[in-house]
Amino acid sequence: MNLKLPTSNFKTNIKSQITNLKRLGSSVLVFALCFEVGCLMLEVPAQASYISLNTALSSKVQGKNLKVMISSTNKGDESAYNLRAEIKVAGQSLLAEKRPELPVNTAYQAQFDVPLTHQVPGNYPLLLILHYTDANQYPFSALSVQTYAFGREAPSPIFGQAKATAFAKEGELRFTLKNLGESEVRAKTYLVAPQELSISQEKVELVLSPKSEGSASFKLKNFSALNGSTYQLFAVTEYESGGLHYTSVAPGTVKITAEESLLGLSYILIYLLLAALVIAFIAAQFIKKK
Amino acid sequence: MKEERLDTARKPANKLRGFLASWKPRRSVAGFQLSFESVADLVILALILVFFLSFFAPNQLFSSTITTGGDTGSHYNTAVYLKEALLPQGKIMGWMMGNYAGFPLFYHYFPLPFVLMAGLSFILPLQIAFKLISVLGIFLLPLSIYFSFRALKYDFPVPITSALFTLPFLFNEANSMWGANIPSTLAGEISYSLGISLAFLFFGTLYAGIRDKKWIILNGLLVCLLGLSHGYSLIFGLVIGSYFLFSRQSFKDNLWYLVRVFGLGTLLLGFWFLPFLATLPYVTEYVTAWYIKSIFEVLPRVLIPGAILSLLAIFLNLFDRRTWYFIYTIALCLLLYFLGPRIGVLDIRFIPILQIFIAIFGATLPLVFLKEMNFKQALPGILLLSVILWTAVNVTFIKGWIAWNYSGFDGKNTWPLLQQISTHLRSPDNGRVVYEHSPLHNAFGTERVFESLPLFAQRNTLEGLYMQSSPSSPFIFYIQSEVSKVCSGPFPQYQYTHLNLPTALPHLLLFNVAQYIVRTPEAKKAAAETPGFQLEKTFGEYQIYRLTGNDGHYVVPLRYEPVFFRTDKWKLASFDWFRNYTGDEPFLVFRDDPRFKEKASDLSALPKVPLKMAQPEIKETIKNEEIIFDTNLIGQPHLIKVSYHPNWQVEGADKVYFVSPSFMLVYPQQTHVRLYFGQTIWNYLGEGMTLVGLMLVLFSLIRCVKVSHLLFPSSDPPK
Repeated sequence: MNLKLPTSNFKTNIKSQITNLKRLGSSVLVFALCFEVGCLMLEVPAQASYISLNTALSSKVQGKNLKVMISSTNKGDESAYNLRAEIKVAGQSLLAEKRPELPVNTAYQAQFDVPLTHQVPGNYPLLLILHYTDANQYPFSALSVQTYAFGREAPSPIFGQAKATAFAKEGELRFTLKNLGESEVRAKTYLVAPQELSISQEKVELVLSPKSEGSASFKLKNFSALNGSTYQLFAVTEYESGGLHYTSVAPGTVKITAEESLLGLSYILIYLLLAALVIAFIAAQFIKKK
Repeated sequence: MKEERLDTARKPANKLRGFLASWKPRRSVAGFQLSFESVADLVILALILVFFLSFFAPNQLFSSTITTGGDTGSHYNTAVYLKEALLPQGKIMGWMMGNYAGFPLFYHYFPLPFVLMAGLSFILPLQIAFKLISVLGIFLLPLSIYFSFRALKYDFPVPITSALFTLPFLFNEANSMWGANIPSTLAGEISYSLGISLAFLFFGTLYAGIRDKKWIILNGLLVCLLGLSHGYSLIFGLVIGSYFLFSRQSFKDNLWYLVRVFGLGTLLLGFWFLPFLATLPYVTEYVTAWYIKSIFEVLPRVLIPGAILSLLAIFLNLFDRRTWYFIYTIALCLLLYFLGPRIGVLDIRFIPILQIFIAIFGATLPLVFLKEMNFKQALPGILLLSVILWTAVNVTFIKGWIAWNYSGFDGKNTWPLLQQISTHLRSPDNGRVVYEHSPLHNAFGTERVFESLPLFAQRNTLEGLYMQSSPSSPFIFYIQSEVSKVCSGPFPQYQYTHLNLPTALPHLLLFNVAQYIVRTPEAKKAAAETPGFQLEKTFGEYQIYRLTGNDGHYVVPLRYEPVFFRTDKWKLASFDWFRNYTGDEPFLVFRDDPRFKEKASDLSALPKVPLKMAQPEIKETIKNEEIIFDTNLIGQPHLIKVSYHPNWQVEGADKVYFVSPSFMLVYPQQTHVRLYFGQTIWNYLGEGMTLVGLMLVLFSLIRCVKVSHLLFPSSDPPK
């Protein structure tokens, strides 16, 4: 019987195969690591606990008073703390009683009875700011704006639109006003933003000819807004004409993006550097060692 | 030779190989062996530091503001007290009168970070020294783990990769109370962070020490530092040590090594550890099972890549003995987590240790490939960029928290208001100041701001940070619930109540409270309507009420004979007595002494025997660690409204008794009485142990120098 035993050559081949496998393994490993990190980076933000307040704001003018009713339900999955409604109306700022904790699926309610001192009839803005904190005492605020009619309903011929914007530290919110009326309008617009954002200008004045458009912008700064969060803002335009007060509200959003640079290097540059290193590394695995 | 060079120039692959080979030779610079590996390690460690500094802005760290944020704000006063009151007396541990009706400072908390702060404050302002030491644990963790992996003899680039892999853990924002990550450290877990960093260093040095039979002194010193940093880091140290007892071949050697290391550590730790053990009965237990809602709290997104790599690494390196060292430690920590509430330890403290292991063990994954891997020099670079990018995109609030903490109390726009309140309270009043507990105080920098009244206003208050250290804390948190719209109620074994100033009044008088700070409309209304409270001053949203019925005395004679109460649950009995205290009950003592003739075992049937005495004339002086009074009522029981502790000793009376709720009682034998916070036998024994430990260290060092002198004698002949 002629038995063929493995030779040293055979052993070398096996060794070489294992070596090749290991090299391939390290390439796969590095690629898999980068792929995993990349995939996770592209994912939506982490599934953390959140607070979501569904707020209903209603108002009614009764004689010379404005009755404001607020109901806000926590539809998130963690309690909101130190919830407090603040309204800004007719040049007054009023605070409701604070609720220390608003558990999930419970409602916070507040009512105001505000004496109105307007001299001119028409539509006026009513601003609601809901202040609250999370369990770590991190402060948040949510806004709502609507109008109410005092004395007489005055639908505004000004139509406004605010563009959604996104930035990390500083940005701007651009808004456009369109005058649908037949007369020139000198309108003053101000921005209502959550306290997490700072606004550079108080008011912007635009003169709009009949059937014309005008644009302006507000410079915004991220004061304490969180990365990945979207904040609602309102561009409120007010003016008086023909013995009536007009108000028009244009909602807009600001998304706070993560700072796309690290130690002064843009993420793109870091990604490119990383890609180059990974390619070089994988290529190097196919070079035989001496 | 010529042929080879030509070939190299022709083929790009060979060019690359030549380039790589050029990195390999080790070069000697100033006597140190430099290689690509060591340079790469140094560069990456430096880049990790730069990454930290991109969050911890140096201008904030080096500004002289008083750090705030969570518990951190209250730690600052501890550092001030250590530097200004205790160290000048040559002491680290002592009595702090400012919080919890007085409590023993550092008898049941960990002094190391504060000693370092006080030490560093001799070259830097204390505010800056405090900031630098408060982040020491964070900055140290990558370095500790790097050296630990080096000690475990892992090849390049595993140690530096493990250091990098600590970043996702440190910047993990999923919790801010468990410890060791940045949010927890910012919230006040300074000692735990430092302890865990040292424990991970010990993880490597102990392994190397046992393997190579070396580093007994170093490991003994580390055991001591672990104990002085945090109790849970010391427990973790014991867990690590126990691994080496599971060796059949070297059980005896390992045991002998561990005995020497832990023996030396215990000796060095003696000055702190022995008094700690001896005074445990006067500690308020805090054991609670932490409720974890989801596995993703333990394994948040930022840790997932590390967890996957670690899992793969365990399987691929299962035959590496070191892997079992990790597996054993992880398993034992997991067991301690589950057993925690049953054995009287806080379970959640073991989770950060598990998370660190989960984050770092993946660094060993390339081990099986390393030999055959080409261009492995690129691996740290790839990992550095990946880890830093991954960490950075997962961070949301940490930078904001750092700015909040390190801009300090004095950097907030509420600072002038706090100064106004403090200035008003900084009066010659002797009584304590109580305040309504409210999250709204956070506007000052932390909702615990008024715990620092001893610092800001030089006034004693009730609440404080180290709640386990004082036997008075259950009563103080009960008072908190009586005077606040919302209460914190931290001890699950005790009950709390709700805002009720009429029932709070006798409790406040018992604790010698003279003023009450109010914030919420509900509490303001209650104070305005309750007799015994008088509005003194309003500062913005804050009101200060005076308790009109308080004379501000810490030393008062008892009206009734104290009653010896028979119970084996004296803490709970005292708490029940306190809840029902209306100001006209006899006080309880829990020691059977011939002096106490009245006895009871039922709180509802306490004998009420009035004491006949002259009109009291008592003059008192209260200092940090001394209570001096002159009385005309010799032989009559005097209540001292300061927490009891066995270290309190007396001159002018025979004994200091523990009396309900948690105070001291003395029977003066002369008109002049002096109580002082001194030393007990346990302090002396502990200090003796430390001295022996230090002498052993010194002796070993001298022996080492002598041996090395014998082995490597100087080449210069003696003149």
